[in-house]
Amino acid sequence: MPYHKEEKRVLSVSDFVRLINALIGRLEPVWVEGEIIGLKNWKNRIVFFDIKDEKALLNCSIYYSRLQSLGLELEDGMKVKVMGTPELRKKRGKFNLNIRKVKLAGEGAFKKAYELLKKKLKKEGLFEKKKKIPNFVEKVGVITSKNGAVIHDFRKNLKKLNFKLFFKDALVEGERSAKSLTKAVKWFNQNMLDLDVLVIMRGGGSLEALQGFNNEVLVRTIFNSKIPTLCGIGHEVDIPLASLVADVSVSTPTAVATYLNKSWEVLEDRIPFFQERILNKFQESNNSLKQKIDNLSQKISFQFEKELDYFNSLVRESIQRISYGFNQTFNKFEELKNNLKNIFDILKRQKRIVKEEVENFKKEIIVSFQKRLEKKKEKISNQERYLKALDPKRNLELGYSIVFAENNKIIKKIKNIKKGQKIKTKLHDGSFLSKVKKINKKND
Amino acid sequence: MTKKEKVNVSKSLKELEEIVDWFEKQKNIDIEKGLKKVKKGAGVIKKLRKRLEKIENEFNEVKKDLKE
Repeated sequence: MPYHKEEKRVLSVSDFVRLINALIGRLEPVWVEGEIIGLKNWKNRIVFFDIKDEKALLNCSIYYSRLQSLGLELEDGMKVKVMGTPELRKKRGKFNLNIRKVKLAGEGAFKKAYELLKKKLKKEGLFEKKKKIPNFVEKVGVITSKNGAVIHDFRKNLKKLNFKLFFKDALVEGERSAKSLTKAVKWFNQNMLDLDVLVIMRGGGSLEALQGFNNEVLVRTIFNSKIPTLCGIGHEVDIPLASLVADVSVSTPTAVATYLNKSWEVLEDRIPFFQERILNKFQESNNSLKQKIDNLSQKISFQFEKELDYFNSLVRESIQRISYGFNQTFNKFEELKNNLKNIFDILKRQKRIVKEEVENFKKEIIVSFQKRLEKKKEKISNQERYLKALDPKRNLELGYSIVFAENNKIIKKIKNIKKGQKIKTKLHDGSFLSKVKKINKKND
Repeated sequence: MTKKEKVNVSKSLKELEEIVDWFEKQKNIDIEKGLKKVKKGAGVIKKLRKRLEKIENEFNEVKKDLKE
Protein backbone atom coordinates (compact mmCIF):
# COMPACT_ATOMS: atom_id res chain seq x y z
CA MET A 1 0.00 0.00 0.00
CA PRO A 2 1.83 3.06 -1.21
CA TYR A 3 1.98 6.11 0.95
CA HIS A 4 0.54 9.33 -0.50
CA LYS A 5 1.17 12.88 0.41
CA GLU A 6 -2.46 13.75 0.10
CA GLU A 7 -4.48 13.36 3.22
CA LYS A 8 -7.27 12.11 1.17
CA ARG A 9 -6.78 8.73 2.41
CA VAL A 10 -7.40 8.22 6.10
CA LEU A 11 -6.43 4.95 7.68
CA SER A 12 -7.77 3.39 10.78
CA VAL A 13 -5.29 2.95 13.61
CA SER A 14 -5.39 -0.71 13.10
CA ASP A 15 -4.71 -0.36 9.42
CA PHE A 16 -1.95 2.06 10.08
CA VAL A 17 -0.32 -0.20 12.64
CA ARG A 18 -0.69 -3.07 10.19
CA LEU A 19 0.88 -0.91 7.52
CA ILE A 20 3.79 0.02 9.72
CA ASN A 21 4.29 -3.55 10.73
CA ALA A 22 4.25 -4.62 7.11
CA LEU A 23 6.88 -2.03 6.32
CA ILE A 24 9.23 -2.77 9.14
CA GLY A 25 8.63 -6.47 8.65
CA ARG A 26 10.56 -6.21 5.44
CA LEU A 27 13.69 -5.27 7.28
CA GLU A 28 16.53 -7.75 7.23
CA PRO A 29 16.86 -9.53 10.54
CA VAL A 30 19.07 -7.50 12.77
CA TRP A 31 21.10 -8.29 15.84
CA VAL A 32 20.87 -5.70 18.56
CA GLU A 33 23.10 -5.66 21.55
CA GLY A 34 22.25 -4.16 24.88
CA GLU A 35 21.83 -4.67 28.59
CA ILE A 36 18.69 -6.24 29.93
CA ILE A 37 16.49 -4.25 32.27
CA GLY A 38 12.99 -4.77 33.58
CA LEU A 39 12.80 -8.46 32.86
CA LYS A 40 9.31 -9.83 33.46
CA ASN A 41 7.86 -13.24 32.97
CA TRP A 42 4.20 -13.06 32.10
CA LYS A 43 2.46 -16.23 33.14
CA ASN A 44 5.26 -18.35 31.76
CA ARG A 45 4.01 -17.38 28.35
CA ILE A 46 5.86 -14.29 27.35
CA VAL A 47 8.96 -12.75 28.80
CA PHE A 48 9.22 -8.97 28.51
CA PHE A 49 12.36 -6.97 28.95
CA ASP A 50 14.11 -3.91 27.60
CA ILE A 51 17.58 -3.64 26.32
CA LYS A 52 19.41 -0.44 26.53
CA ASP A 53 22.66 1.26 25.94
CA GLU A 54 23.77 4.65 27.22
CA LYS A 55 21.42 6.53 24.94
CA ALA A 56 18.55 4.40 23.87
CA LEU A 57 16.10 1.77 25.00
CA LEU A 58 14.30 -0.97 23.12
CA ASN A 59 11.28 -2.97 24.22
CA CYS A 60 11.71 -6.69 23.67
CA SER A 61 9.56 -9.74 24.13
CA ILE A 62 10.13 -13.42 23.66
CA TYR A 63 7.88 -16.44 24.05
CA TYR A 64 8.81 -18.19 27.19
CA SER A 65 8.83 -21.54 25.40
CA ARG A 66 11.21 -20.10 22.86
CA LEU A 67 13.49 -18.78 25.52
CA GLN A 68 13.39 -22.19 27.16
CA SER A 69 14.26 -23.89 23.95
CA LEU A 70 17.29 -21.61 23.71
CA GLY A 71 18.42 -22.95 27.05
CA LEU A 72 19.34 -19.55 28.41
CA GLU A 73 18.59 -18.01 31.72
CA LEU A 74 18.23 -14.24 31.49
CA GLU A 75 18.59 -11.65 34.16
CA ASP A 76 18.60 -7.87 34.48
CA GLY A 77 21.97 -6.33 33.81
CA MET A 78 22.96 -9.16 31.49
CA LYS A 79 24.42 -8.09 28.14
CA VAL A 80 22.71 -9.86 25.31
CA LYS A 81 22.49 -9.87 21.60
CA VAL A 82 18.98 -10.32 20.42
CA MET A 83 17.56 -10.93 16.99
CA GLY A 84 13.92 -10.73 16.02
CA THR A 85 11.25 -8.97 14.05
CA PRO A 86 10.37 -5.42 14.94
CA GLU A 87 6.73 -4.69 15.41
CA LEU A 88 4.39 -2.07 16.59
CA ARG A 89 2.25 -3.62 19.23
CA LYS A 90 -1.37 -3.05 18.40
CA LYS A 91 -2.81 -2.75 21.82
CA ARG A 92 -0.23 -0.56 23.43
CA GLY A 93 1.13 1.20 20.40
CA LYS A 94 4.63 0.48 21.54
CA PHE A 95 7.53 -0.47 19.40
CA ASN A 96 8.77 -3.86 20.28
CA LEU A 97 11.30 -6.36 19.08
CA ASN A 98 9.73 -9.78 18.88
CA ILE A 99 12.77 -11.83 19.68
CA ARG A 100 13.56 -15.10 18.06
CA LYS A 101 17.10 -15.51 19.18
CA VAL A 102 19.07 -14.40 22.18
CA LYS A 103 22.78 -14.67 22.65
CA LEU A 104 24.75 -13.71 25.65
CA ALA A 105 27.19 -10.95 24.96
CA GLY A 106 30.51 -10.78 26.79
CA GLU A 107 32.07 -12.79 29.60
CA GLY A 108 29.99 -11.07 32.22
CA ALA A 109 26.76 -12.20 30.62
CA PHE A 110 28.00 -15.71 30.26
CA LYS A 111 29.13 -15.69 33.81
CA LYS A 112 25.80 -14.37 35.01
CA ALA A 113 23.80 -16.79 32.93
CA TYR A 114 26.03 -19.59 34.12
CA GLU A 115 25.61 -18.71 37.78
CA LEU A 116 21.91 -18.24 37.37
CA LEU A 117 21.30 -21.56 35.72
CA LYS A 118 23.66 -23.32 38.04
CA LYS A 119 21.75 -22.03 41.02
CA LYS A 120 18.45 -23.00 39.56
CA LEU A 121 19.52 -26.51 38.57
CA LYS A 122 21.23 -27.05 41.86
CA LYS A 123 18.05 -26.15 43.62
CA GLU A 124 16.27 -28.73 41.53
CA GLY A 125 18.85 -31.29 42.55
CA LEU A 126 20.05 -32.01 39.07
CA PHE A 127 23.67 -32.26 40.12
CA GLU A 128 23.12 -34.81 42.80
CA LYS A 129 21.56 -37.76 41.11
CA LYS A 130 24.32 -39.82 39.58
CA LYS A 131 24.17 -43.01 37.63
CA LYS A 132 27.01 -45.42 37.99
CA ILE A 133 29.28 -45.98 35.07
CA PRO A 134 29.76 -49.72 35.00
CA ASN A 135 33.05 -51.50 35.25
CA PHE A 136 34.52 -52.97 32.11
CA VAL A 137 33.16 -50.38 29.72
CA GLU A 138 32.96 -51.69 26.21
CA LYS A 139 30.41 -49.76 24.22
CA VAL A 140 31.06 -46.07 24.27
CA GLY A 141 29.01 -43.38 22.62
CA VAL A 142 31.26 -40.47 21.79
CA ILE A 143 29.94 -36.98 21.21
CA THR A 144 32.44 -34.42 20.08
CA SER A 145 33.60 -32.63 17.00
CA LYS A 146 35.05 -34.75 14.29
CA ASN A 147 37.51 -31.95 13.69
CA GLY A 148 40.30 -31.15 16.02
CA ALA A 149 42.64 -33.02 18.26
CA VAL A 150 40.13 -34.10 20.84
CA ILE A 151 38.96 -37.30 19.23
CA HIS A 152 42.51 -38.13 18.29
CA ASP A 153 43.83 -37.61 21.81
CA PHE A 154 40.99 -39.59 23.20
CA ARG A 155 41.64 -42.54 20.93
CA LYS A 156 45.34 -42.38 21.46
CA ASN A 157 44.96 -42.65 25.18
CA LEU A 158 42.51 -45.52 25.20
CA LYS A 159 44.15 -48.80 26.00
CA LYS A 160 43.46 -51.72 23.74
CA LEU A 161 40.70 -53.04 25.89
CA ASN A 162 38.17 -53.98 23.30
CA PHE A 163 36.37 -50.65 23.38
CA LYS A 164 33.69 -50.20 20.80
CA LEU A 165 33.32 -46.54 19.96
CA PHE A 166 30.19 -45.08 18.40
CA PHE A 167 30.86 -41.60 17.22
CA LYS A 168 28.44 -38.78 16.73
CA ASP A 169 29.77 -35.54 15.36
CA ALA A 170 28.56 -32.37 17.11
CA LEU A 171 29.35 -28.71 17.21
CA VAL A 172 31.23 -27.91 20.36
CA GLU A 173 31.92 -24.24 19.98
CA GLY A 174 29.60 -21.30 20.52
CA GLU A 175 25.91 -21.02 21.08
CA ARG A 176 24.87 -23.34 18.29
CA SER A 177 26.69 -26.19 19.90
CA ALA A 178 23.98 -26.65 22.55
CA LYS A 179 21.43 -27.76 19.99
CA SER A 180 23.87 -30.01 18.21
CA LEU A 181 25.07 -31.63 21.43
CA THR A 182 21.51 -32.08 22.70
CA LYS A 183 20.54 -33.73 19.47
CA ALA A 184 23.43 -36.15 19.74
CA VAL A 185 22.66 -37.07 23.35
CA LYS A 186 19.05 -37.66 22.41
CA TRP A 187 20.06 -39.71 19.40
CA PHE A 188 22.10 -42.10 21.49
CA ASN A 189 19.31 -42.36 24.04
CA GLN A 190 16.86 -43.19 21.32
CA ASN A 191 19.00 -45.53 19.30
CA MET A 192 21.71 -47.05 21.43
CA LEU A 193 20.45 -47.65 24.91
CA ASP A 194 22.84 -50.55 25.33
CA LEU A 195 25.83 -48.23 25.54
CA ASP A 196 27.88 -48.54 28.70
CA VAL A 197 28.64 -44.85 28.71
CA LEU A 198 28.03 -41.72 26.74
CA VAL A 199 31.04 -39.48 26.48
CA ILE A 200 30.80 -35.75 25.77
CA MET A 201 34.08 -34.06 25.12
CA ARG A 202 35.80 -30.94 24.00
CA GLY A 203 38.99 -29.13 24.71
CA GLY A 204 39.29 -26.18 27.00
CA GLY A 205 37.77 -22.80 26.30
CA SER A 206 36.29 -19.65 27.71
CA LEU A 207 32.80 -19.45 29.10
CA GLU A 208 31.70 -18.02 25.82
CA ALA A 209 33.29 -20.77 23.83
CA LEU A 210 31.75 -23.30 26.15
CA GLN A 211 28.35 -21.66 26.32
CA GLY A 212 26.74 -24.60 24.61
CA PHE A 213 27.76 -26.79 27.54
CA ASN A 214 26.02 -24.40 29.92
CA ASN A 215 22.80 -24.62 28.03
CA GLU A 216 19.83 -25.58 30.12
CA VAL A 217 18.31 -27.78 27.43
CA LEU A 218 21.51 -29.72 27.01
CA VAL A 219 21.98 -29.98 30.75
CA ARG A 220 18.49 -31.35 31.23
CA THR A 221 18.93 -33.74 28.34
CA ILE A 222 22.10 -35.03 29.88
CA PHE A 223 20.33 -35.32 33.20
CA ASN A 224 17.59 -37.35 31.60
CA SER A 225 19.95 -39.57 29.69
CA LYS A 226 19.34 -43.22 30.43
CA ILE A 227 22.87 -43.94 29.39
CA PRO A 228 25.42 -43.00 32.03
CA THR A 229 27.23 -39.86 30.97
CA LEU A 230 30.83 -38.91 31.21
CA CYS A 231 31.87 -35.38 30.38
CA GLY A 232 35.37 -34.41 29.52
CA ILE A 233 35.19 -30.70 28.92
CA GLY A 234 38.21 -28.51 29.33
CA HIS A 235 37.45 -25.31 31.20
CA GLU A 236 39.11 -22.35 32.87
CA VAL A 237 37.43 -21.52 36.12
CA ASP A 238 33.80 -22.48 36.03
CA ILE A 239 32.94 -26.09 35.52
CA PRO A 240 30.50 -26.37 32.65
CA LEU A 241 26.99 -27.25 33.77
CA ALA A 242 27.06 -30.23 31.43
CA SER A 243 29.98 -31.53 33.45
CA LEU A 244 28.19 -30.83 36.71
CA VAL A 245 25.13 -32.72 35.65
CA ALA A 246 27.02 -35.60 34.04
CA ASP A 247 27.33 -38.76 36.06
CA VAL A 248 31.06 -38.41 35.98
CA SER A 249 33.13 -35.53 34.80
CA VAL A 250 36.78 -35.01 34.14
CA SER A 251 38.48 -32.03 32.64
CA THR A 252 40.12 -33.34 29.48
CA PRO A 253 39.48 -35.86 26.74
CA THR A 254 42.65 -37.63 27.80
CA ALA A 255 41.24 -37.96 31.28
CA VAL A 256 38.12 -39.50 29.77
CA ALA A 257 40.26 -42.14 28.12
CA THR A 258 42.07 -42.72 31.37
CA TYR A 259 38.79 -43.05 33.18
CA LEU A 260 37.52 -45.62 30.72
CA ASN A 261 40.78 -47.51 30.94
CA LYS A 262 40.37 -47.51 34.67
CA SER A 263 37.03 -49.20 34.44
CA TRP A 264 39.08 -52.22 33.46
CA GLU A 265 41.67 -51.71 36.10
CA VAL A 266 39.55 -53.49 38.64
CA LEU A 267 39.80 -56.48 36.43
CA GLU A 268 43.50 -56.08 35.94
CA ASP A 269 43.92 -55.82 39.67
CA ARG A 270 41.57 -58.62 40.44
CA ILE A 271 42.60 -61.01 37.73
CA PRO A 272 45.76 -62.17 39.46
CA PHE A 273 43.76 -62.58 42.64
CA PHE A 274 41.02 -64.51 40.92
CA GLN A 275 43.56 -66.47 38.98
CA GLU A 276 45.31 -67.47 42.16
CA ARG A 277 42.06 -68.41 43.77
CA ILE A 278 40.86 -70.39 40.80
CA LEU A 279 44.15 -72.18 40.50
CA ASN A 280 44.26 -72.94 44.18
CA LYS A 281 40.67 -74.06 44.29
CA PHE A 282 41.17 -76.27 41.32
CA GLN A 283 44.35 -77.68 42.75
CA GLU A 284 42.53 -78.30 46.00
CA SER A 285 39.63 -80.02 44.35
CA ASN A 286 42.03 -82.01 42.26
CA ASN A 287 43.90 -83.09 45.32
CA SER A 288 40.75 -83.96 47.14
CA LEU A 289 39.62 -85.93 44.15
CA LYS A 290 42.90 -87.78 44.18
CA GLN A 291 42.45 -88.41 47.85
CA LYS A 292 38.97 -89.63 47.24
CA ILE A 293 40.07 -92.02 44.56
CA ASP A 294 42.83 -93.29 46.82
CA ASN A 295 40.40 -93.72 49.65
CA LEU A 296 37.92 -95.53 47.51
CA SER A 297 40.53 -97.76 46.03
CA GLN A 298 41.88 -98.48 49.50
CA LYS A 299 38.42 -99.19 50.74
CA ILE A 300 37.74 -101.54 47.88
CA SER A 301 40.99 -103.38 48.29
CA PHE A 302 40.60 -103.41 52.05
CA GLN A 303 37.11 -104.78 51.79
CA PHE A 304 38.14 -107.30 49.27
CA GLU A 305 41.15 -108.32 51.30
CA LYS A 306 38.92 -108.66 54.28
CA GLU A 307 36.67 -110.89 52.30
CA LEU A 308 39.60 -112.69 50.88
CA ASP A 309 40.92 -113.22 54.40
CA TYR A 310 37.60 -114.45 55.50
CA PHE A 311 37.42 -116.68 52.51
CA ASN A 312 40.92 -117.87 53.23
CA SER A 313 40.00 -118.53 56.80
CA LEU A 314 37.01 -120.49 55.58
CA VAL A 315 39.27 -122.44 53.30
CA ARG A 316 41.79 -122.94 56.08
CA GLU A 317 39.07 -124.09 58.37
CA SER A 318 37.81 -126.47 55.75
CA ILE A 319 41.31 -127.76 55.21
CA GLN A 320 41.73 -128.19 58.91
CA ARG A 321 38.49 -130.03 59.14
CA ILE A 322 39.39 -132.21 56.24
CA SER A 323 42.85 -132.85 57.53
CA TYR A 324 41.40 -133.54 60.95
CA GLY A 325 39.12 -136.06 59.28
CA PHE A 326 42.08 -137.48 57.44
CA ASN A 327 44.06 -137.64 60.63
CA GLN A 328 41.23 -139.37 62.32
CA THR A 329 41.11 -141.87 59.53
CA PHE A 330 44.83 -142.06 59.48
CA ASN A 331 44.95 -142.67 63.20
CA LYS A 332 42.43 -145.45 62.78
CA PHE A 333 44.52 -146.80 60.03
CA GLU A 334 47.51 -146.74 62.32
CA GLU A 335 45.49 -148.59 64.87
CA LEU A 336 44.45 -151.06 62.28
CA LYS A 337 48.02 -151.40 61.24
CA ASN A 338 49.02 -152.07 64.75
CA ASN A 339 46.25 -154.54 65.07
CA LEU A 340 47.34 -156.21 61.90
CA LYS A 341 50.86 -156.19 63.10
CA ASN A 342 49.73 -157.87 66.23
CA ILE A 343 47.85 -160.37 64.22
CA PHE A 344 50.87 -160.93 62.12
CA ASP A 345 52.96 -161.29 65.15
CA ILE A 346 50.57 -163.78 66.52
CA LEU A 347 50.45 -165.51 63.24
CA LYS A 348 54.16 -165.45 63.05
CA ARG A 349 54.43 -166.86 66.46
CA GLN A 350 51.81 -169.35 65.61
CA LYS A 351 53.64 -170.22 62.50
CA ARG A 352 56.80 -170.68 64.42
CA ILE A 353 55.04 -172.83 66.86
CA VAL A 354 53.49 -174.79 64.09
CA LYS A 355 56.81 -175.04 62.41
CA GLU A 356 58.38 -176.19 65.57
CA GLU A 357 55.60 -178.59 65.99
CA VAL A 358 55.98 -179.70 62.48
CA GLU A 359 59.67 -180.03 63.05
CA ASN A 360 59.01 -181.95 66.14
CA PHE A 361 56.44 -183.94 64.40
CA LYS A 362 58.85 -184.57 61.64
CA LYS A 363 61.42 -185.67 64.08
CA GLU A 364 58.94 -187.79 65.81
CA ILE A 365 57.83 -189.25 62.57
CA ILE A 366 61.35 -189.95 61.58
CA VAL A 367 62.03 -191.46 64.93
CA SER A 368 58.94 -193.50 64.83
CA PHE A 369 59.60 -194.39 61.30
CA GLN A 370 63.06 -195.40 62.17
CA LYS A 371 61.71 -197.30 65.04
CA ARG A 372 59.29 -198.95 62.82
CA LEU A 373 61.96 -199.51 60.33
CA GLU A 374 64.04 -201.02 63.02
CA LYS A 375 61.14 -203.14 63.97
CA LYS A 376 60.61 -204.09 60.39
CA LYS A 377 64.20 -204.79 60.03
CA GLU A 378 64.09 -206.92 63.08
CA LYS A 379 60.97 -208.53 61.82
CA ILE A 380 62.64 -209.12 58.52
CA SER A 381 65.67 -210.56 60.14
CA ASN A 382 63.43 -212.67 62.23
CA GLN A 383 61.60 -213.63 59.13
CA GLU A 384 64.86 -214.28 57.55
CA ARG A 385 65.83 -216.41 60.31
CA TYR A 386 62.53 -217.98 60.20
CA LEU A 387 62.70 -218.30 56.52
CA LYS A 388 66.11 -219.67 56.81
CA ALA A 389 64.73 -222.17 59.03
CA LEU A 390 62.07 -222.77 56.56
CA ASP A 391 64.37 -223.30 53.62
CA PRO A 392 63.19 -226.52 51.94
CA LYS A 393 66.65 -227.29 50.78
CA ARG A 394 67.80 -227.45 54.34
CA ASN A 395 64.75 -229.40 55.20
CA LEU A 396 65.40 -231.69 52.31
CA GLU A 397 68.86 -232.09 53.64
CA LEU A 398 67.38 -232.83 56.94
CA GLY A 399 65.46 -235.63 55.32
CA TYR A 400 62.34 -234.05 54.39
CA SER A 401 61.03 -234.56 50.78
CA ILE A 402 58.52 -232.85 48.56
CA VAL A 403 55.91 -234.59 46.57
CA PHE A 404 54.85 -233.27 43.26
CA ALA A 405 52.02 -234.23 41.06
CA GLU A 406 52.67 -234.99 37.41
CA ASN A 407 51.88 -231.45 36.63
CA ASN A 408 54.63 -230.41 39.10
CA LYS A 409 52.12 -229.22 41.66
CA ILE A 410 53.13 -229.76 45.21
CA ILE A 411 50.91 -232.15 46.90
CA LYS A 412 50.22 -231.09 50.36
CA LYS A 413 47.07 -232.97 51.22
CA ILE A 414 46.35 -236.55 50.96
CA LYS A 415 43.00 -236.06 49.35
CA ASN A 416 44.83 -234.70 46.26
CA ILE A 417 46.38 -238.09 45.77
CA LYS A 418 44.76 -240.85 43.96
CA LYS A 419 45.64 -244.46 43.91
CA GLY A 420 47.69 -245.33 40.94
CA GLN A 421 48.75 -241.80 40.43
CA LYS A 422 52.31 -241.22 39.51
CA ILE A 423 54.11 -238.91 41.82
CA LYS A 424 57.50 -237.35 41.87
CA THR A 425 59.35 -237.14 45.10
CA LYS A 426 62.05 -234.67 45.46
CA LEU A 427 64.98 -235.22 47.81
CA HIS A 428 67.83 -232.94 48.52
CA ASP A 429 70.08 -234.66 46.04
CA GLY A 430 67.55 -235.90 43.48
CA SER A 431 64.08 -237.14 42.86
CA PHE A 432 62.31 -240.29 41.89
CA LEU A 433 59.06 -241.29 40.36
CA SER A 434 56.72 -243.68 42.06
CA LYS A 435 53.20 -245.00 41.84
CA VAL A 436 50.75 -244.75 44.65
CA LYS A 437 49.65 -248.09 45.91
CA LYS A 438 47.88 -247.32 48.96
CA ILE A 439 46.54 -244.29 50.56
CA ASN A 440 46.38 -243.92 54.32
CA LYS A 441 44.41 -241.10 55.66
CA LYS A 442 45.52 -239.81 59.02
CA ASN A 443 42.24 -240.35 60.65
CA ASP A 444 42.20 -243.68 59.29
CA MET B 1 40.66 -90.31 21.21
CA THR B 2 37.76 -92.43 21.05
CA LYS B 3 34.63 -91.72 22.97
CA LYS B 4 35.25 -94.78 25.12
CA GLU B 5 38.33 -93.35 26.63
CA LYS B 6 36.55 -90.12 27.82
CA VAL B 7 36.06 -90.57 31.51
CA ASN B 8 33.30 -88.87 33.33
CA VAL B 9 34.93 -88.18 36.66
CA SER B 10 31.84 -87.76 38.78
CA LYS B 11 30.18 -90.77 37.19
CA SER B 12 33.27 -92.87 37.78
CA LEU B 13 33.47 -91.73 41.38
CA LYS B 14 29.88 -92.74 41.85
CA GLU B 15 30.69 -96.14 40.42
CA LEU B 16 33.52 -96.54 42.89
CA GLU B 17 31.32 -95.49 45.75
CA GLU B 18 28.76 -98.02 44.66
CA ILE B 19 31.38 -100.73 44.66
CA VAL B 20 32.50 -99.75 48.15
CA ASP B 21 28.88 -99.71 49.27
CA TRP B 22 28.41 -103.12 47.81
CA PHE B 23 31.34 -104.44 49.76
CA GLU B 24 30.19 -102.81 52.93
CA LYS B 25 26.74 -104.32 52.60
CA GLN B 26 27.94 -107.88 51.99
CA LYS B 27 27.31 -110.35 54.74
CA ASN B 28 27.75 -113.56 52.86
CA ILE B 29 30.62 -113.18 50.54
CA ASP B 30 30.61 -114.27 47.03
CA ILE B 31 34.30 -114.12 46.37
CA GLU B 32 33.80 -114.45 42.63
CA LYS B 33 31.46 -111.51 42.57
CA GLY B 34 33.81 -109.66 44.86
CA LEU B 35 36.66 -110.24 42.49
CA LYS B 36 34.56 -109.00 39.61
CA LYS B 37 33.77 -105.86 41.55
CA VAL B 38 37.40 -105.37 42.46
CA LYS B 39 38.40 -105.77 38.84
CA LYS B 40 35.77 -103.30 37.78
CA GLY B 41 36.82 -100.92 40.53
CA ALA B 42 40.45 -101.26 39.59
CA GLY B 43 39.59 -100.46 35.99
CA VAL B 44 37.64 -97.41 37.03
CA ILE B 45 40.41 -96.29 39.36
CA LYS B 46 42.98 -96.73 36.66
CA LYS B 47 40.93 -94.69 34.23
CA LEU B 48 40.21 -92.07 36.85
CA ARG B 49 43.86 -91.72 37.75
CA LYS B 50 44.73 -91.38 34.10
CA ARG B 51 42.03 -88.79 33.59
CA LEU B 52 43.11 -86.95 36.68
CA GLU B 53 46.68 -86.95 35.50
CA LYS B 54 45.53 -85.56 32.20
CA ILE B 55 43.44 -82.93 33.91
CA GLU B 56 46.39 -81.99 36.04
CA ASN B 57 48.63 -81.73 33.05
CA GLU B 58 46.15 -79.58 31.24
CA PHE B 59 45.72 -77.53 34.35
CA ASN B 60 49.43 -77.05 34.66
CA GLU B 61 49.59 -75.99 31.04
CA VAL B 62 46.90 -73.43 31.69
CA LYS B 63 48.70 -72.32 34.82
CA LYS B 64 51.89 -71.90 32.90
CA ASP B 65 50.04 -69.94 30.25
CA LEU B 66 48.56 -67.68 32.86
CA LYS B 67 51.83 -67.06 34.63
CA GLU B 68 53.72 -66.19 31.53
